[in-house]
Amino acid sequence: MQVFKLYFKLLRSISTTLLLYTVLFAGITIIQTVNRNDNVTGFMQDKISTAIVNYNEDSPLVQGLIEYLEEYCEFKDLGDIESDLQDALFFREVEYILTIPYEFGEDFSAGKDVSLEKKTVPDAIYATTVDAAINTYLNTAKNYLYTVPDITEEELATYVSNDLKAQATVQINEKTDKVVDSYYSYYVNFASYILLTGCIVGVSLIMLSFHNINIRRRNLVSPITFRSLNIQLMEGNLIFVLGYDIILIVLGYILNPIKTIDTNVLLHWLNLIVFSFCALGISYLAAMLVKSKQANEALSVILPLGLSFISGAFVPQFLLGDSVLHFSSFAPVYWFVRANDTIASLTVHNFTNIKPILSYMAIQIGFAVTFFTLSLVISKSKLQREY
Amino acid sequence: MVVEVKNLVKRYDKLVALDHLNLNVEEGEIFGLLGPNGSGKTTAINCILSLLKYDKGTIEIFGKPMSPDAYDIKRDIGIIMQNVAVFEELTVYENISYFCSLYIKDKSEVKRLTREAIEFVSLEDFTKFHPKKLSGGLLRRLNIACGIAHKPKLIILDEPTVAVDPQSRNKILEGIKKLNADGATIIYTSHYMEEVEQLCSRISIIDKGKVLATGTKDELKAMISLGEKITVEAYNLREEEIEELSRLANVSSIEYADNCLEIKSKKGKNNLIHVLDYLQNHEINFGKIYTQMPTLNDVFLEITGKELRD
Repeated sequence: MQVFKLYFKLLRSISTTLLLYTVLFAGITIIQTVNRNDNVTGFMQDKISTAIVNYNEDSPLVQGLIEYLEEYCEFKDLGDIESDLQDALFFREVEYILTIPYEFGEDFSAGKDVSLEKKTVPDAIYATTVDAAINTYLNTAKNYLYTVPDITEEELATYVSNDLKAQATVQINEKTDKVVDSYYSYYVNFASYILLTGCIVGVSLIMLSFHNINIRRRNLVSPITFRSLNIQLMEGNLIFVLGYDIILIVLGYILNPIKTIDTNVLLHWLNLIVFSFCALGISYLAAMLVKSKQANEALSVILPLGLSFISGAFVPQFLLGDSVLHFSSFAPVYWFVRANDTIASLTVHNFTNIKPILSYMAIQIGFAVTFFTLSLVISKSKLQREY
Repeated sequence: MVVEVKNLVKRYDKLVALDHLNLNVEEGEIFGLLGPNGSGKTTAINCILSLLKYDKGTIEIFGKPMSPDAYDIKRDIGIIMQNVAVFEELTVYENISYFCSLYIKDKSEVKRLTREAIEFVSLEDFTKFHPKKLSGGLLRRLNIACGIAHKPKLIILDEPTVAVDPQSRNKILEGIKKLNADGATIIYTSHYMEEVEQLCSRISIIDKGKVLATGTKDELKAMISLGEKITVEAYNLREEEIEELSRLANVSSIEYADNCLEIKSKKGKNNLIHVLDYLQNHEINFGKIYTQMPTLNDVFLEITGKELRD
């Protein structure tokens, strides 16, 4: 088992790089998790600074309107001098100036076509809130005018105020399963990038050392059989990749604020393990094609990043263009992400629902087999050229 | 016989790399394979080690046919290749220990042999160093230690001193002599004739994949007509005097340039005395005189018509 032992000695030499990747990944996941926990379930209402010029103070309807608007506006009394009001608006002392004309209440109650005057700062996004509140109040009032034609202004103001004071109780129920699925979907998608990078950094670099022609010759003239050497290397690779899987699974469990392991989580883990064979296959192939360690280091940055970007490991697939997705469907990461997304939306665990997930996993295994076959073909042709 | 190669032929398409090569290496000798770059030395070694397929011929090591799966034979062979073959990620100790452990199962034995190999190549102060931190000479010594740590009966060294400083080269050559003294049979390939002459008990001169001559260095030198080279610092020699010198007994060629007279003579007695007599009799002023016996380069030159380093 000398080669097997050597495998892990060589792995030790790149353990710092692998550790750095894992720590970086954990850090980003923690940040993401914290952000995801800030789910908005309530908000503080902000009031808009509003100047009101009221020429119809005695009107009950106007009083009701102002009372209602107090929920949305912080009223400031700036008088009614036009220049003062303009200055206040210019210096953003107020964002909204509402002018209620003479006899507004009476005219409105009489069904006349009347309007309020408003001035706002340019592009005032909050102005729409005040507009909406005014519209709500006056539209409610109009409804009463249509349905109760003989209604007095006082009655109108009372009814509208009562109606608008009515509150509906809304209860927000956090659906824990979906939170967990959302976390794992994000985590495992991102983990594919780390796993692929780790495999190319680790497996390819070790395989490159063994593929070095001088070292291979030294191994070939030793009494160790070629078959035994390859089996020991394969064992090392499998243990490395499965070990890395376990680290990522444990890390995912630790970093998840909700410690739940349900069928979906298990499917996510299974998908990660299936994908790790693809990552191993890609690393084998890379080690066959790449000639130097420097080139392999460059590849370990470019390839996982590129594949993860176009396959939706970082950005959800639905945000990617059709042509990008069509192109990325030739990469295993795409099917891995698709499987994860499907698992995340899974609520009923019957065969019909799980079948597409299994087919995505089968596609990944197909990719892995292809990569290994290609590696073997290249290895054989290389050996024949040298021999 | 430790190694017996008969009629070995290796072709690369139309190029014949080895052309009916025959070699016999006796037990306990240091056998030199001398030839210029591209003469087929490394190809021959790779065929002997079954690292290369060959088209024709037979190879026997320790009396058994050599093949890629002749693991019992491989167990007793140590190989030091032209290029350094070590793991950059491992320390000096770990490298030697790993390659030794491919041959030896017992852990404590591996430890002992690794220590001995380190001592043998004088790398005691560098056991924890990684290869990148070693100088070229030290790296070559590590390469040798990796090849000999398991105490093989047959050690094959393929140009182990290429690009090595003189101090390390001497150390390596001394080490090879010691390995041989301890009982190992050595095959040493090089294009440095001085090294081969200094080290090897028997030499095969190889060119274009063919063995041109085999024997001890004296036997090889005896094969050629050149006797000795006489160099004289002579002043103001005239054309007629040079002409007369060239007609002296056993003189095969003569060159005169920059007050330096170089006479190549055929085998024979008193060649130097004849030259000195002529100089004295003709009152020719001369300074330093020295003679040189033929070298392996002269042997190669006479056989092939070109220098070893051409």
